[in-house]
Amino acid sequence: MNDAPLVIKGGYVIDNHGLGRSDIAISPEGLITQCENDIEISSDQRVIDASGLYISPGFVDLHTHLREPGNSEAETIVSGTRKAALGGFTTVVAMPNTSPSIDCTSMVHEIRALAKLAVINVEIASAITLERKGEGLVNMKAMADLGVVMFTDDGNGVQDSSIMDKALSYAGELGVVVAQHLETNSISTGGLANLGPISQRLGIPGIPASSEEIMLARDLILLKNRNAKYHAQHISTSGSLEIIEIAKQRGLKFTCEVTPHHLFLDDSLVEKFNPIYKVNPPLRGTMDINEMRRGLLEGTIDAIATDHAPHTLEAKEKSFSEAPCGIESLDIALGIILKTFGLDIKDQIDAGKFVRVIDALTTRPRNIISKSRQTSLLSVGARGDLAIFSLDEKKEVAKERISPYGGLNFFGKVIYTICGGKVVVENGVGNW
Amino acid sequence: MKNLIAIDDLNKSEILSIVKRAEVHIKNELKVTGSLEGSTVVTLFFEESTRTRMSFEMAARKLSLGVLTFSKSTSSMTKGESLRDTIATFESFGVNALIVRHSSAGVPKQISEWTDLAVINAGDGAHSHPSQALLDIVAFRSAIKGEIPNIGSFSRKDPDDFSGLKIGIVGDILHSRVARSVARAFSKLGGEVILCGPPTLLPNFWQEFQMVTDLDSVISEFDLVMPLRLQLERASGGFIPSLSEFRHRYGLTTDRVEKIKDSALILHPGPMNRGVEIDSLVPNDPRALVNFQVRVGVPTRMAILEHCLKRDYENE
Repeated sequence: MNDAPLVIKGGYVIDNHGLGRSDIAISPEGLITQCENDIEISSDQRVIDASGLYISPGFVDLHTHLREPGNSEAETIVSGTRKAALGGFTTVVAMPNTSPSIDCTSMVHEIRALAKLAVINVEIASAITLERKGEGLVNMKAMADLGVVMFTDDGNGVQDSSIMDKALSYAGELGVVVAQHLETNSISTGGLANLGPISQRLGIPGIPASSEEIMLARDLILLKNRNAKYHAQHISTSGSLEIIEIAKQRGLKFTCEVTPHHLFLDDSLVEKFNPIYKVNPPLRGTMDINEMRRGLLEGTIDAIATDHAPHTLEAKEKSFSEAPCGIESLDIALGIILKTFGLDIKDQIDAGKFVRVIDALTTRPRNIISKSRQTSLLSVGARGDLAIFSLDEKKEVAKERISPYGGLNFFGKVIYTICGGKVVVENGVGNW
Repeated sequence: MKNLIAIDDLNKSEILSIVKRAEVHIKNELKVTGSLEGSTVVTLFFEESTRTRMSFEMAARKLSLGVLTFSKSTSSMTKGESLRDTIATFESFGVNALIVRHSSAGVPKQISEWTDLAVINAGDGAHSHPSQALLDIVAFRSAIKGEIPNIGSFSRKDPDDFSGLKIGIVGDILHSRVARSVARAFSKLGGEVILCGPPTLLPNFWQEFQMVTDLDSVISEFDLVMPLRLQLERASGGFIPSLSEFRHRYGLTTDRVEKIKDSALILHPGPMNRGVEIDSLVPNDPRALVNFQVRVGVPTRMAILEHCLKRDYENE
C-alpha cells in the first residue's frame, strides 16, 4: 500500500528535542528506520531532496471540524483532510458535533468508513453526553474500546457540574482524555463578541471572559478528586491562563490548547461587522493575545489546535447575530503561527522558540491523545509522518476566501507532507 | 454618494452642515424641492418603527425622490432569498440609496460592503442611530437659539459650539443605539456627555465617556437631560430589580425634574414608557422638547438624504 522506501536528505530536522541536521529513512511499511546524517542510498529508495527545508514530525490537530455528516456543503472528511495535509498535518481529531453527533458506536463506524478516503490519519472524538445535550453520558467504555481518542461535547460546554464530575470519574479508568469546550451558557448566551471596550462601543452584545474562566475553574476543582485526563479546549483569556498556571504549579495534571486565531487576531476586527471574524470563544483583546503567546512559549499552554470550523459563504454572509461561529485555518496554520512568534524570517530564528512552537504542533498534542507517552516522534520505529516546509516560500491566501486571512500571505509553506511513508503532498501540491 | 452608518462617518463640519440644512428646511416650512428629482430611495426595515421610517419616507417625498418601501414579510426573503441577493435586486432596479434598519448591529455596514449605493443607517441593534442623534441636535439648537415658542429659556451666543455644556443621557445605555450616537454627536460638537444609569445597564468597559450611577448627584448640572426608553423586559432579565425601583432612581419623575436647571432642556427619543423613565406630565414641562423633536425628524432626514445623495446644496 505504501510507496517505495523513502530517504529524505539534506534538511534541517526540528522537533521537541531541538533543531539539527539529519537524514530520515522510512520503510515501505511507513515506519522511520533511520534517523542520522548521511544515510547511504540504495537503488530502490526514493530520495526527497530537503536541502534548505525544515523537517518536523507531522502536525497533530486536536481540534478539527470536518462537518461530515450533516454539513458536507461546508466540508467533508475528504476535503478537510486534504486541507490538513496541505498544511502539514498528518493527524486530525474529528470533533463530534456533526449531525447526528458522534455519540454512539455506529457513528464511529460511519466516520471510519468515510475516513477511508482521507489522505491522513483521522482520529475520532466522541461526545461526552448523548446528542451533546449535557444530560446522559455516552457509552464511554464502548467508545473507548473502538479507539476514540477524546471525549468532548465541543460546541457546547458541559453545563451540569454533576454530569461533568461523573464524566471525569467514569472516563478516568478508560485512559481517554476528557476535553471541555469552556463556556458557561448562563453568562455567554446572547453574546456575539468579546465583552470589552470595542464591543461596548459598537453595541455588540458581549461574551465576558468569565464565561470561559468559571467553567475552567469548576472543572479543575472537580479534577482534583478524579484520576482523569483532562484537556481545556481553545483557551482565550488571560484569566484562564492565570488559573491554569496556578493549578499546574500546584501539581494538578492536565493540558490545554490555544488556536492560531486567538494567538494572531484581536477583537478590534469585529469593527468591520464581518461575520468572518465571528468565532467562539470570541477574538479577545490584545492583552489576552499577548498572554496566550507567553503561555504558549513558556509551555503552560501545551498545544496549538486549529479549531478548524469551516462554513459556507451563504452562512457567513448573514448578519453578525445570525451567522455561525468559526474560522478555518488547517492549510495555513503553520504560517500564521510562525508569523505570530516572529519565526518567519529565516536568518533571525530563535531556535528555542521554534522548537517550542513545533512541539506544540506535534509531540505534545500527540501525547494528549496517546495512551503511552512518546518522547520522540522522529526516532527509529516511529510512524513515518512528516511535515517538510520552507521558510523561503510564502503561502498565499486567496483574497476571496471566506476567512480573516484572505489576501494575506505567510512564510512557512509546506512542501511535502508524508503520512505513514506515503507522500501525500509533493512540491506543495496534493497527490490525489 | 455617501454612506451614513454611524456618527463617526461625519466630522464636526459635516454634522453642522447637515444640521444647518435641516434648519433651512424648517425655515422653508418643508417646502418641496426638486433638486434630487429622479433619484429613488428604498426603506428596508427589518425591525418595526413608526417615526423613523415614516419620516424618512416623508423626507424623501419632500425632496421629490421616488420611494420604495420594502417589507421582509411580504418579500422573497420569506422564500429564502438572502439579504445580499435582495440588495442586488434593488441595485439592478437603479435605486440610489438604501435606508436600513435591522435588529442586528452592523447590518447597514455589511450592506455597504456589498453595494455602491448610498446606505443610510436607520438604526441597527445597539450600535448606531445617526439620524436620531442629528435630529436631537437640530431640536436642541432650535431651543437654544430661542426659536421654539414657549419652550426653553436657554440662550447661547454660538450654537455651533457645545463646549461647556453637560449632556446627561439616562437609563439603559448598554442596549441603546440612540445613546451611542447621541453621545458621539454631542461630544463632536464640544459637549461633555455623561452616561447615567444602573451599573448593570452601563457599558463599563467603554472608557470614552464619564459614567455615573447616582442620577441625583449630577442632574442639577445637566444642560440637557435625555431619558432613554427602558425596555420593560429588562426587569425580568435581572438588569434591574423592578420597574418601580428604576423609576425611583432614574425616572424623570415630577419631583426629580424640579432639580433640573431652569435653563436646561429635556429630550426623549421616543417612544416613551410613561410612568417608567418619564412621568406623564413631564413632556408638558416648558423645558421639554419631546413633541418638537418629532417635528424635526422630517427636515433632518431631508438634509441627511441630500448629504448622502451628494448634491451641492450649499449654493442654493
